[in-house]
Amino acid sequence: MDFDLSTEQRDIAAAVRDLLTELATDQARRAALETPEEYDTALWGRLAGELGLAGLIVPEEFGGLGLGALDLALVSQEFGREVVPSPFLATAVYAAALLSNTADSAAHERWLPRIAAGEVIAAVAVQESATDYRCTSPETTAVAGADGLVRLTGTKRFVFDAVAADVIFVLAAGVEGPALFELDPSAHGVIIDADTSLDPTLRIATITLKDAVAVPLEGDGVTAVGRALDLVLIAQAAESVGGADRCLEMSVEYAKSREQFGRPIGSFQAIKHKAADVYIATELARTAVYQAAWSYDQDPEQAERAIPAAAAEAKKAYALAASENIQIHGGIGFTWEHNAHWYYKRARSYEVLHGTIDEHYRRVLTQVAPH
Amino acid sequence: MDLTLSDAEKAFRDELVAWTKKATVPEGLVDYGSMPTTEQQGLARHWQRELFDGGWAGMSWPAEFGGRGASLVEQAIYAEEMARLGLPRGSNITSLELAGPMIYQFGTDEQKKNLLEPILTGEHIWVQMFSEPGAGSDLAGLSTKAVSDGDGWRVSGQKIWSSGGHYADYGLLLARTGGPGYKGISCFLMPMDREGVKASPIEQLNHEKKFSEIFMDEVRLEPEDLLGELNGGWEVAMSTLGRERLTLGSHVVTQRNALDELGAQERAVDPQGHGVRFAELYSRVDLLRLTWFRLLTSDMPISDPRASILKMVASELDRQIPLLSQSVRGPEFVTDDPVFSDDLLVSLQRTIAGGTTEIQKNIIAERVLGLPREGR
Repeated sequence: MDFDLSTEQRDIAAAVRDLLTELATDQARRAALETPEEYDTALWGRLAGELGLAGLIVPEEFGGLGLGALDLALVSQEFGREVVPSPFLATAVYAAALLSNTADSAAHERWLPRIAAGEVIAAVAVQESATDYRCTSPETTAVAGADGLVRLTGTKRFVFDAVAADVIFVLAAGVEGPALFELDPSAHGVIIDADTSLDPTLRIATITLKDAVAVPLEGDGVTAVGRALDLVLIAQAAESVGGADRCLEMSVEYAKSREQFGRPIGSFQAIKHKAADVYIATELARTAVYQAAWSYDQDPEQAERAIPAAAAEAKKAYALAASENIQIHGGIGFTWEHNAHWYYKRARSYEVLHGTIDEHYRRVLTQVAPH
Repeated sequence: MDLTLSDAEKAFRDELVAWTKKATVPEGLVDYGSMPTTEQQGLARHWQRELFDGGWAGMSWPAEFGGRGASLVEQAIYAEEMARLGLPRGSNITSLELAGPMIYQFGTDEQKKNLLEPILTGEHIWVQMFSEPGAGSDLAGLSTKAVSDGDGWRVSGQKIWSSGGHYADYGLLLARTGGPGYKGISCFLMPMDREGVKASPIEQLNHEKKFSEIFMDEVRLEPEDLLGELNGGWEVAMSTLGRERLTLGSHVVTQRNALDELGAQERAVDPQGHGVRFAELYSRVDLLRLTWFRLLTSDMPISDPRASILKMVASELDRQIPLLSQSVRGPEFVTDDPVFSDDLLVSLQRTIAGGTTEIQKNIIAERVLGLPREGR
């Protein structure tokens, strides 16, 4: 039994932190949101180019680093600390994991090297209903025409990074059940509407498909989506823990320096106990994320309950940390100028994106209460 | 990272389980937790003797003092497995995790020779005499006074919340020998049969009588009763801080058993109803266990303030689990749930004993996060 991280794991997390501390500043974030892409393209280029993060989980044979879920969690924690506007989650995690979990070797050849190189943005369109993020029975249909082409019709919601995507992988109901399809976003019959997001650093869209031509991918679509989504949950939970860490650091720093009644507000128990609550929630969530990431690679049975548990714990911890951070900061925390709101918006968005807390606990329940 | 038991850890566990199969368990012995009730204390002594004969006494003690010298993870496994088997871990926690370690760290050769082995064999049961009616969270404000009397002292005062004081053989006593504050406190090893000592059990709100109040009236303390330096009692007392956390595993097993029992009722695990809360608590218990292992396997000393979170989360879960039973069963909880209704009552003390939740939060805020101390 040990929770130690390897030297390589510590090193990659430190390298990501160094680069993000230097480049993912509040100023850079604000500037990026004013660009057409709405993410920091220069930063993404360096993260992909210098650190190879676009190919973090892509197998080495396709030019990636071939790293595991735990490495991903450590890197994601760093992303979470800075609320980076980046296609990392959509492309480097979701799409890369999805492809790797399909049996379609031609699609691997086609996309994995380009994803790993940071050359393309890839998105994954699965969810349709607000109450079913795993969408095991999609209503979007895939119909083969007399011309031999497959056409997709339906609506996909809450899709990350669809607007800038070079390719979108879509889960749809084919003749033999749910399957995955590769879609060219510029194809006829594809309408991508960017949603106005509570968190402007997340680019979320609704995709309407009407007889849009797409290429079927080989293999079991639902299983591939399930595996990929689990990795997304781990990465998102790890980001949340990183975000919560940063919120707590900001709170503590402020509570030490801000004086009222002639003493630092951090000397008051009312403030201390808030900070302690955030610390506890964050540390439990960190344990949960480690367990989820470790079991994803090592123990699938344990993962089945560890992953939703980690997702739920991290969502709760981040929401608590981000809201208490603003409360501790008082008026200044409510301003546009202060960066506390980025964390709050991200926390409250992540709280319900890729499954609500209740949905995750219901999955835990299937594992711990068999009847 | 490897979240499974290593081969050596498995071998340790298997050895323990194999031994318990052939050990003589005193008839009527139950897993009484960290200390026996008055009724169980005799059995507790027999059981401690059995553990001693089997080589399982003093898990945390170094071998040179007669202990097992087990690693932190082994101690954790021991606590978990014993709870799984429904067996107590030893006579009581005060003897094995407070008195013993304090004596082998600070005691004279004479004290070690006379007092350590009887703890391991179950001959002596110890009671902690720290808290007073006027000194709870603010322990350093205690007022029991030991006044110099020739080569020794005369001690007078009142102690309270002392677990098992009415049947203990020795008391681990903190008394004031100097000025105010923690620098004027000494630690004494006091035989409970000394003249002037009177211990009586306190009835808890659930009728159990686990702790007691102890009155001392001009009790004579000999020079050899002093443990450590004169006015150095605070250091002695604080040296074992956090050791009770090593037994957390048994707590987790108890909580999981309680949830399994609750989960047998369909209403408790209805996905559209209480099931979500049930899963939340179940996950939390899992996480408590893993966070405990995470802290144990880091290079953190067991007294590290970060470990305060374990105590807090454990006690919070103790409070929440019976409350889930209450919401699941509704009015039937009031009339027909002796197990969980007793748990509900007992759980109230968990967030008080061993440092209240509020004190734990102060510790985290000040010693982990570095927030300034309050003007005290």
